[in-house]
Amino acid sequence: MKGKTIVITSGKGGVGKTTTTANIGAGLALRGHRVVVLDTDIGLRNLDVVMGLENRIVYDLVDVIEERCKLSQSMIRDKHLPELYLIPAAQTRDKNCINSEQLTDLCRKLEQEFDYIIIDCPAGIEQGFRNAIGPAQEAIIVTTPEVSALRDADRVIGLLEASELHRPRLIINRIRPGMVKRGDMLDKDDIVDLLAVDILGMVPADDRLITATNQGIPVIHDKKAPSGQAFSRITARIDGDDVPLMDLEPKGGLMDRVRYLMGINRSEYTHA
Amino acid sequence: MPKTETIQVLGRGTNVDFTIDDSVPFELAERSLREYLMACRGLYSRGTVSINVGRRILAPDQMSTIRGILNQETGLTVSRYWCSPDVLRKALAGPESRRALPPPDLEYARNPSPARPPIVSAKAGTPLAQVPAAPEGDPARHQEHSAPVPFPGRGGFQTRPVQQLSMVFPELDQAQGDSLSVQIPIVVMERDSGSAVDLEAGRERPNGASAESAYWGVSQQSAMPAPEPLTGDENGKEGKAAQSVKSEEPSAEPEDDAWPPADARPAPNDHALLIKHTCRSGEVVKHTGDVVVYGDVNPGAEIVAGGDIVVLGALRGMAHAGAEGNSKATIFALKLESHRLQIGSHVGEAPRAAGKSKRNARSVNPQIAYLRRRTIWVAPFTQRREEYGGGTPYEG
Ligand SMILES: Nc1ncnc2c1ncn2[C@@H]1O[C@H](COP(=O)(O)OP(=O)(O)O)[C@@H](O)[C@H]1O
Ligand SMILES: [Mg+2]
Repeated sequence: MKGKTIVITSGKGGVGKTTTTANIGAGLALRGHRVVVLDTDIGLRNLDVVMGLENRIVYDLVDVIEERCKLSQSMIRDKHLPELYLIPAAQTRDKNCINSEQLTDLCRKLEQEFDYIIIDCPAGIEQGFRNAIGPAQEAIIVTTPEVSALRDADRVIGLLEASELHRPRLIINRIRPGMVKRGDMLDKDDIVDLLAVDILGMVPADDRLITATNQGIPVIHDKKAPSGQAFSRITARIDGDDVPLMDLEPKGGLMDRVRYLMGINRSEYTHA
Repeated sequence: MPKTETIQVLGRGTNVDFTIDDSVPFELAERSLREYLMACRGLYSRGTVSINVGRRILAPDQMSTIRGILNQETGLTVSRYWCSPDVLRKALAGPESRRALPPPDLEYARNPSPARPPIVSAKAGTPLAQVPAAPEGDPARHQEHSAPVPFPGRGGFQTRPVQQLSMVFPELDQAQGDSLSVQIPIVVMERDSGSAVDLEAGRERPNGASAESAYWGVSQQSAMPAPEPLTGDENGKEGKAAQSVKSEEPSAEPEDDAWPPADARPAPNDHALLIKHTCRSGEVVKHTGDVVVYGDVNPGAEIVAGGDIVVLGALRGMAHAGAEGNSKATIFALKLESHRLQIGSHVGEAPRAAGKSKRNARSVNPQIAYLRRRTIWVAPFTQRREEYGGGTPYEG
């Protein structure tokens, strides 16, 4: 069996790489695949927190690479999905303590056993970024509809192309359909026009995502959350399903619409 | 009341009339107006004025400059502009001219010369074609005016792209490895006949210069009037004509108005750089010749060219043409959306309103940035000379 390694990257921090990694990982596992998510944000780990697994960490990525433990020992099984595993980052080391070859070797090993290896890339374009993209066969760029995030995404796409990772796909996170409609936020077309890459999906800004994150449960498990639904679609697309891209639109009953028109964000949500 | 020679003010009660000398260059007029208003600060508070511009043709942006100065310095509002009717008619016919109008040539305006065959081929080494037939303008008519009409009106002097922008790129130079140099591919312009060229065509070119370089060479005189009659190969006459243009043009950089400028391109043996990918944030391209990008130049990317920059996509990053001091270099893009441009040593910033992304992301709007009198102007690129001037100033 030969798995596929996908890196989730963005350049800018706080745009939702970790959230995306957790949800895509869970989503692929929900679809019956064997999945490992790999946190390469050494020194600032938080994928474990988002997945609610921090209390189970014994060994971490650096331990495996420095051969203080077996690969299987560093893998933490997810609470909800038996086919989903996490390899957490080390918290007390820094990004220079591993290199891209070591990580690539590790991923090649994992590819023998798993269908997908999803790498959560640290922010920035330094060593941590180089490490994370080294093993990847595919890249997913996460951005928010803000010029600063787009600038960084553009830079990262350039670097990926220089590293032979062509045709990265784009996830636009934290879209507020109401703002887009009012012309206060860049819309999908503006962004795709600028970055000139294929779009993989759009995720609305969603309060339920924050709630879920705080509970350590990826929002994709929340069937009512618009962001969770968006991640389900994205996962299906990664998995090769042809799910059409829908424009994000506020939906719901009259009260929702009124709230949306008044700019109250609670249920500004959508299908994507 | 302080007075400059350039600005005359006639006030009758609430009715104030500013007359701006139409023989001085616009900058000077602009400066004089500013100085005048500074000098008599407090004299004007609010109200409306009319501006008499005489025979000068004001471009829309120049109008707004004047309006801006008045408003900013005094709070005055310009209620109307005065100019002579023929000036107005000419101005409507072509946005190009920004200097004092020569003696009116209404007959020509009514009856522009027909399109004439191009006399210059874009391909280096191709000899100049035949001198075109003389236009309908008969010499006698023009002899009425001592000076040629420095108004590149319709039908006279035109440019158009060779093969509608489908540029011919020779094979990539394999010897260059992965650098993307190509041999001088980017001759875009071909020109319909103009009098300056006609005169040149009859002349021997020194040391076998290619048609191309001759073309660029002669184009220096393109500031010359469009309807200048084709009086043949009389070089002496040409010299006189050129001189009279100069003497009539008191601008600091009179040759600025020449287009296409002689040195807009690098030396003929300079290579152009063809970039076949999107230039993304962080990418810096520096090249001594022209640079052509087959794609977008995104924000955060930077192109620095000794010659011209041509972007066959959206230009949103930094572009610096004529980086080695060539102020005749231009920047062309199918979508020109940069907020800052640089030509030679001049920097221009997009006016605040401009550059706001249009709704239709797919549509293109070819524009060209060029330097004129120390200001970078961005004008629609409509393939025609007379619509080439004017545009929006990108103030430095
Ligand atoms: N679609 C969204 N709606 C609301 N909050 C979000 C969304 N995506 C991410 N967030 C929040 O943004 C913050 C940063 O997300 P994270 O995934 O940690 O970013 P990164 O890993 O890129 O630094 C988190 O607090 C997360 O809960
Ligand atoms: Mg993170």
